[in-house]
Amino acid sequence: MTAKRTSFKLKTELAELETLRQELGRYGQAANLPPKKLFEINLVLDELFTNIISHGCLEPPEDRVSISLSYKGDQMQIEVRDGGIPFNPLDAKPPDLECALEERSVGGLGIHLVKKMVDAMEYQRSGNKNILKMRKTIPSK
Amino acid sequence: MEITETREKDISIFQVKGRLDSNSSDGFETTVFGAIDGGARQLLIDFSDVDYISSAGLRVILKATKGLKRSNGKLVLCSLKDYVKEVFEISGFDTLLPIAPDQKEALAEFE
Repeated sequence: MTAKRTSFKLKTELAELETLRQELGRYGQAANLPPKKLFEINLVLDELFTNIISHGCLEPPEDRVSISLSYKGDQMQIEVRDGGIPFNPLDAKPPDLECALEERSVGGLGIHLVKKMVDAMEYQRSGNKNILKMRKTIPSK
Repeated sequence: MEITETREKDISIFQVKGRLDSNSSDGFETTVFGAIDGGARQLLIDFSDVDYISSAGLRVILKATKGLKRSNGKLVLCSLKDYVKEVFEISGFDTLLPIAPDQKEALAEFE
């Protein structure tokens, strides 16, 4: 069985979330992904990308965020590379989801959602790049 | 994203259509807080045409929930699609504010 792959680069501006949606839409069709799983992958990449744009201190327009996906059997491999400041999402402090409304904040919520939507994560700092590899089980339709 | 506002007695009803991500959340926030600043205290947001929400959209919901609670108001959501509802649940937001299955039950939350 050959893997269904795609890879693309996003410019470091939030408007590229639309490019992300379109790329994933095309890939979802080609790889025959269930809509719910496609939604989850979109959310994972949206949160990571938005985080990189907001906190990565990247310098547009030269910098790009590279995304690649590969689906084989029931395993989806997702990789995100960026040239932002070192950031290891595995070390991110989890948000307090139990506290009262007044104390509740959305800090850390994006990364929390990412962690809940994938089965495994691996972070590497290589040269001046953050490389985040994720795995998600997606039973084929 | 499109937002249509209607009024039913003292309840401001927002029908949101499209995706609530970091691109659209500013517009969403401006509309919702425009109503709150204008004196609206009972807000209902109908999510039946919302296909997608990220933490940027959740941030606006949280801010509005807090703001309305301080001024003795109330925010109720209704008609969330399954995927969208799951994001609320994973984020622990389903216990912060009432989420009704449809508009009729959502309106009853204000009685």
